[in-house]
Amino acid sequence: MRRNAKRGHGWLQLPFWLTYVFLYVPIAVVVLMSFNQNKSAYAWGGFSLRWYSALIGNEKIRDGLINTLIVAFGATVLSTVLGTLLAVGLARYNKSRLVDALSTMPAILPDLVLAIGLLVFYAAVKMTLGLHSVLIAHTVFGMAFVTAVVRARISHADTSMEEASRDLGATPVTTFMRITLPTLAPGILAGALLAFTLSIDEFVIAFFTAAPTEPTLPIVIYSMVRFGVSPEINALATLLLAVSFTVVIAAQRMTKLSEALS
Amino acid sequence: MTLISIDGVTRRFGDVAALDSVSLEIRQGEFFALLGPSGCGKTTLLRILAGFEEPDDGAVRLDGDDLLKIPAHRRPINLMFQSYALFPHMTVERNIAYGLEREKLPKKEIRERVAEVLETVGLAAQARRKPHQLSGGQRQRVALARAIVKRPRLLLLDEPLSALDKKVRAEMQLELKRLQHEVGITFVVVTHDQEEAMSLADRIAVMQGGKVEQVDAPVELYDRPRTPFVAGFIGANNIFSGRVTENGLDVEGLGLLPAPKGVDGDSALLVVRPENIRLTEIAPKTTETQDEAKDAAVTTEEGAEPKAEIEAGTEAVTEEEPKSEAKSEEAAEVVAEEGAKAKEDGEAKSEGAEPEAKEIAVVTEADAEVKPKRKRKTKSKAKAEPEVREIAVVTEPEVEVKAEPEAEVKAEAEAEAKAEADVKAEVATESEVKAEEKDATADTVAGAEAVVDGAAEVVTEVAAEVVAEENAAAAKADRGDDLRAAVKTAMTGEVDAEAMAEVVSRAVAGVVAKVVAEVVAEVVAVNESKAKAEERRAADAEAETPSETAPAPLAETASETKTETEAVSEADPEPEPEDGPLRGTVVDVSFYGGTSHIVLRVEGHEDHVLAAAQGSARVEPGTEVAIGWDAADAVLIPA
Repeated sequence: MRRNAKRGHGWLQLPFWLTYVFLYVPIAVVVLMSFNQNKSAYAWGGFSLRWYSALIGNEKIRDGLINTLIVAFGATVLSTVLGTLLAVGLARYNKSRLVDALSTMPAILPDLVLAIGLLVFYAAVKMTLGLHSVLIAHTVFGMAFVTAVVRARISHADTSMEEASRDLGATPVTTFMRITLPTLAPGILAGALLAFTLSIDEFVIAFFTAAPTEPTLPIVIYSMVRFGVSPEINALATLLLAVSFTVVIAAQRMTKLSEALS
Repeated sequence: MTLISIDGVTRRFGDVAALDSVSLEIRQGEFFALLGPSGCGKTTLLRILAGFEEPDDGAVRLDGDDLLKIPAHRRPINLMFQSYALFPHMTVERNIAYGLEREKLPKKEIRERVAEVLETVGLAAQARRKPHQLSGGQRQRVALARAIVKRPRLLLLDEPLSALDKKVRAEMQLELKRLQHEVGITFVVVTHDQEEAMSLADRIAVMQGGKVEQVDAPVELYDRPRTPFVAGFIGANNIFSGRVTENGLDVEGLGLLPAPKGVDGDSALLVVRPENIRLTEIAPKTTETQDEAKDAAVTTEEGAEPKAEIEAGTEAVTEEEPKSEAKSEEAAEVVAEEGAKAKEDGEAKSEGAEPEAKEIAVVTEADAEVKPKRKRKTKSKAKAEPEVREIAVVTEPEVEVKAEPEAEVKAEAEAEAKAEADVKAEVATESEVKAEEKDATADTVAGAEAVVDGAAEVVTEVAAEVVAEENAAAAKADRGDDLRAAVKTAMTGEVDAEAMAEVVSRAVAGVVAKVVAEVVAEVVAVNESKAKAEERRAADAEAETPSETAPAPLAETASETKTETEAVSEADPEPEPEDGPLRGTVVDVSFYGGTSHIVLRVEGHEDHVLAAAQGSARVEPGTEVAIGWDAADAVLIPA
C-alpha cells in the first residue's frame, strides 16, 4: 500500500525533478569544467586547479574585480540607507497604493530600460562616465530591492513599539535610531545583501554606464568570452557562484531570524 | 482632587464619531476604568490621553493645564500597551531603563531605580533575559515596570489582562491593585471585561458608541444602573419593560411587578438582579387535602383553567410555611402573627400573636353542587404596630351550596375572634403593622366571619391577616350578622375616604366586572377606629369579603379562575406576601462559582428570567415556581 502510494508520488514528482535538473545542469557543468585539466573548455581531461591559479595571475580580471567590489560596496551602502528611508517614509506617510507600487518599480523594470534611461540622463546633465556613474546606477535599482524588503518587514512590525518609545520620553529621532532601526535591522540587512549580490554580477546597466577604461568584472568576462570560452572563465564563474550562494543563504537566514524575533 | 479633566472631547474617523463629546474627571490617586464593548471609543480616549491621537474638539487638562499642547514624549503620562510593546532587541533591564535614559538621569540612579522596580514586580531574576524568553505574565510585568519606573502622574493601561490566561489574570489583578496602592499613581485602565473593571477600579466610566453612559463606583453601577445599556452590560440582569404605576411596574402580559417608586405613567425598564430573585415552589404542602383539591389550588393560583373540581364535602386545611430565605426575612419583620382557626361548628378562635412569622392558609370549602368555582385573593396591608401587615384573603366560593356545608376554619389570631361558620376557610396571614395608624379595622375579621356566616350560600377560602383585639371585638359584634349587614355596619363607621377609594378601585381592577359590582356593593368595608394607647397599636386593615348571591356566579364564574386584589392602605412598596407576581418554569439549572444559576421561562416574557442562589439549589428543571423579588432590590430606569 505504502509502496504504491510512494510510486504514485514518484510519478508526480518527475516534472519537478526534470525542471530542477534543467535549472542546475548548466551550473553543474561550469563548476565541473572549472577543475578541468584539459585546455579545451568542452572535453574533460582530469582534475586540476590550474585555471584558478591562472585566474589570480590575470591582471584584467583582478582590476575588473576590484572595480566591481568598489561599485558593489558603494551601491549597497547608498541603496540600503536610501531604500530604508524610503520604506519607512512609505509606511508612515504614504497612503497611495500607486506610490507604494512605483517605489519598487526599478527592481522589476527590464535592465535595458533602466540602462538606457540612465545613460540618457547622464548625457543630459553632462556627467562623465566612470565607476561613479555605475555606482549611482546600481544604487537606483539596489534601492528598489532594499525598499521592497524593508517595506515588507515594516508591515509585520508592531507599531506600538515606536509609540511605546515616545511614550517613555524618546524624541522621534531617538525613537527612530533606538527602536525603529533595530527592529527593522534584519530586513535592512537582507536588503543590503540582496543589493550587493545583484550589483556584483550586474552587466547590462554597467555596460551602458561604465567608462571603457574602468570595466567591471562582468564586462571583463564578456570581453574575454567573445574570443571563446576558456576554462579560466569557468573558474571565475565558480568563484562568483560560491560568493552569491553564501550571500543569498545568509540573507535568507537573516530574514528567517527576523521573523522568529518579531 | 481632579487630576485629569476631559471636557467635551470629540474624535471622528470619517463619518464615525469614535468619541462624541466625552466629559470625564479623573481624580488624583484613583483607579479609574473605562469600560465598554469594542468600538465604544475607550481606546481612542486612552490614546488621546497618551498623546498619540488628537481630538477634533474639546479640551483635556492635567492639573488644570492644557495637556493637548504637550507632545506625547513630554507628557507625565505612561501607557502600558495591550501588546506590551516590549523592545525585542533589549533585555528586560534595558527595556525598563529606556524611559529613564531618555530623562538623562545619572547612570547610577537609573540602575537603582531599575533594580527597585524589578524587585517590586518580582522579576529581579529575569533582568537579563530578552522579552521572547519570558512568559506572558512576566512580559506583562516588564511592561508595567517599564511604565511605572518613570513615576508618571497618570498610568494608562490598555486591556492589561486580556492577553493572559485565567489563572495568571486573577494573580495580575491583585498585583495591579497592590502596585497601584504601593506606588500611589493614578491608574486608568481600559477594558471590555466588566468583571475586570469591577474588580480593579474605584470608579468606572461605562462607554458606548463614543459616549459615556455612566460614571460610578462599581457597587453603584451594579446596584443602580442609570441607563438600559449599563443595566445590560454590568452583570446579567432581568429586564422588564413596562409602565410605572403607584404599586409597581405594569408589564404587558405579566401584570404588576414589584418596583421602586417612579413617576406614574412613565414607561420604564425594571432591572432585577438574578441574586435578588426569590423562587417559591408552587405546589404547597397540603395536609388533609385530597389530591383534587390540591390540584385545584395549584392551578387556580396559577391563574390557569380550573382543572379539578372540588367535591362536595372536601375538607382541606393547608398550611404554608415560608419557603425561601427572602421570605423568612420578610416574615421576620412581622412581629405579630396570627392565624385563625375556625372550627367546624363555625367558631373561630383567635389566639395571641407569637413573635415569629407564620403563614397559615386555611382552605375553606363547602359542599357544593355546582362545579364552577371562583377564587379571590385579597391582599391588604394593614397598619398597626411598627410593621405593616399584609392580608391575603383567598376565597373560593362555590355557589348553590348545600344548606349545611361542612366547614372548618382555622385561624390563629392575635385577638380573640370567634366566628361561626359552616365553612372551611383558609387564611393566610402575613402582616406588618404600622404604629402611626392607630386605627383598627374590624372588617377583616368581621368580613371573614360574615362570610363564614353566609357560608350557607358561599364557600370561601380566606387568607386573612389577623387584626388587633379590637378587631376581634368588632368581629364578635358582627358575628351572626348577615354579610350585607356587616358591610353596611362597617361602612357606617368612620371611613377614610382615600383608603376606601383605594380599596374599591383595587377591587374593581382585580375582579371581573359583575362580580366586582356585587362585591363592592356587598362586601368592601374599610373602617378606621382608634386604638387604645396601651394596647397594641391598632391595625388598619381593609378587608374585602367576597360574597355572591346564589344565582349570579353560576354562569360567570365558570370562566374565571382567579382574581387577585391588592389593597394597600399606605403607599408603601412592600414585597409580595408569599411568592411573587410571576409564575415560571425552571428550564435549566447550573452550578458554578459556588452559585446556582437558574434559568426560568415565564409565559408572556420574551427573555429568560435568570435567578442565582448561593450554594446548590435543589430545583429540578420543569419545576413550576413563583418568581418574586423585593421592590427595593429592583432598579427602575426611565426609558
